[in-house]
Amino acid sequence: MAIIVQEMINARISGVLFTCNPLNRDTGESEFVINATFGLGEPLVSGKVSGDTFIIDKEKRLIKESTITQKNSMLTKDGEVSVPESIKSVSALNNSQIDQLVQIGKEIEELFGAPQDIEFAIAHDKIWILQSRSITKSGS
Amino acid sequence: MTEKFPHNSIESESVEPVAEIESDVEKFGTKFAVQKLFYKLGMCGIDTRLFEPETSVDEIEKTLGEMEATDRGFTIRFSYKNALNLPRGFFKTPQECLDFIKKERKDYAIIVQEYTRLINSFELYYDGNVSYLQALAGIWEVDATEAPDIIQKKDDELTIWRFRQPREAKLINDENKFYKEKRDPFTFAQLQEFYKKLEPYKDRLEIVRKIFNPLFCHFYEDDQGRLCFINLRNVGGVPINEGSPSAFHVVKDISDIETWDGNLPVLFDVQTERDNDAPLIETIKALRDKEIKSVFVNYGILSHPAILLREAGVQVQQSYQLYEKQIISTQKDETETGKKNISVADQLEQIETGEAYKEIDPKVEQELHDPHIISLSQILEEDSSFIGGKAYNLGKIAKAGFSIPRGFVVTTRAFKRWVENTGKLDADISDQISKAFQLLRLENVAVRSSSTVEDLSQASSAGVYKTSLYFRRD
Repeated sequence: MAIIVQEMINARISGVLFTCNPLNRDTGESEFVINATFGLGEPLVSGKVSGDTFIIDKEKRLIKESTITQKNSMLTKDGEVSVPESIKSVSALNNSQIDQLVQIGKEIEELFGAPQDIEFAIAHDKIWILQSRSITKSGS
Repeated sequence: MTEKFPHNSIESESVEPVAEIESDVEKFGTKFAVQKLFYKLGMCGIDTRLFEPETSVDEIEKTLGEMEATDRGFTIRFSYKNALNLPRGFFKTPQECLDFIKKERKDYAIIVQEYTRLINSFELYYDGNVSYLQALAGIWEVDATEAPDIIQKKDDELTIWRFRQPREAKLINDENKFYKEKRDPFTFAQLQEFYKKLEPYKDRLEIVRKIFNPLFCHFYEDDQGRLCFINLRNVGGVPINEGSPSAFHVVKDISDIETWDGNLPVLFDVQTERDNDAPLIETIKALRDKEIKSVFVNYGILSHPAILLREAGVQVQQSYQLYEKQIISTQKDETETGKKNISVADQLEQIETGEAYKEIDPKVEQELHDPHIISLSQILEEDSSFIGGKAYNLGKIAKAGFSIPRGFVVTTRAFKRWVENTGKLDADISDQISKAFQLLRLENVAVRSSSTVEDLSQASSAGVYKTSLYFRRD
């Protein structure tokens, strides 16, 4: 085993990007799915919060479906805190961020030659890639 | 006989609607009866005068003279049994109104209202269990196939489906001519406000629902923020509002039904003309022949095509293809109007991210490559068997030019020595790690395992792979 030691990104927004839609067998390969929330990504990855969901048409780069949930709490480096009232129901990602993510997703998918499950964080006006792994055919 | 309607609406308690409305519908037609009911309940919002068929021209003239309207003018509608497409008009002066009435009235009942500038249109459905408020910018004609915004209230939850694209709102100018105007999509906050506007009408809507259940009424908001209820519609069964799949077979006309593969859900997207329902009805018949029992629509679940579909026994669901959804618990009232004007970007500033990220001199990072410690940006192809898949992938991503947080990997060689020493770290490795912390200026770090193929065969170590966050340097 090896150990990775990496500087913590105190993310404003965190999320997961799938470069295929595991929920839809018919159109899965033509869609990206992004799941995002405020703060660090741990509660999202562990399934503690559902976050916002975006289904994107890969070819047309269009958002086909977006589900914005009420994000009451978020994880920060200081622990769990309340999301400021006025942004609780605001989309975690704006269109330009989604667009950048789609571009990143396409490139990383090409880099590894397989659909990817990518964890990302947004802070300091930058999208950080925290992890990427290939999705196996049976769904990961 | 003239019934004189009071200038001010009467209190709702004094209305005995059931018996009266039935006879009104019979005598004057639904449009008039309903408008009268709304009027008596104080739901018209704008200056409204109602004349039964027998009302004398003198009486009408006198009443028109009393109207507060307006240099903008008047609108006139007629009502007669269930007749549709009766003449209606827009006139600048009471005299013009009178001329029109004299010429066209036959034995119609007459509705005269001050002309007002309509801004948004709404339809409200309520069956005692669930309510849907649908909103559309501009005029909402009965044949509109625009997709409205939808606000669903069920139990203590408000679910808003916000239409994401700008609309071409249909409006009327001062010359009573239609024109189109581009409108930005409503915001979630605006849609929530629309729902709140109904609050004062709650009891009165219940009175109407006692007579017409489920309630399905049409109203609009004018440029002065007044609500005017103008019509009741037939719902044609109960709308369903579940989620939607992301792939459809789109039916634009009858030929698209022939090509349906029998599997994909159908998105029914036939556009209608006000005066020509035939293509719509033909396509619905074809649906039924194919035994398609349920379809999705982009336009409102309360729209004219949706009603015709339900009347034909086809279930209708909103497709939400172009929507964004938000769920709000209404148990606690969240009013935050004061904060509304702050932009999202400003709000996000409230989420602390600490001091600016420090870039590391690439030359410094180049030093960090030896058998035990490798900077994530310096990973080479030949390192792959010593660093595990996760680290290898990160290295590859960094090399391709993406941003990854700075850091290093402690190789399997170092890990092996640690295990062999029963958990004691050799001084040289420990020094190297400290040096890496210094060179990369690491402060708060996340420590994660990166497993190799070798590890994967040992299921028992699964717990070790868990990522732990927030180790402070020391």
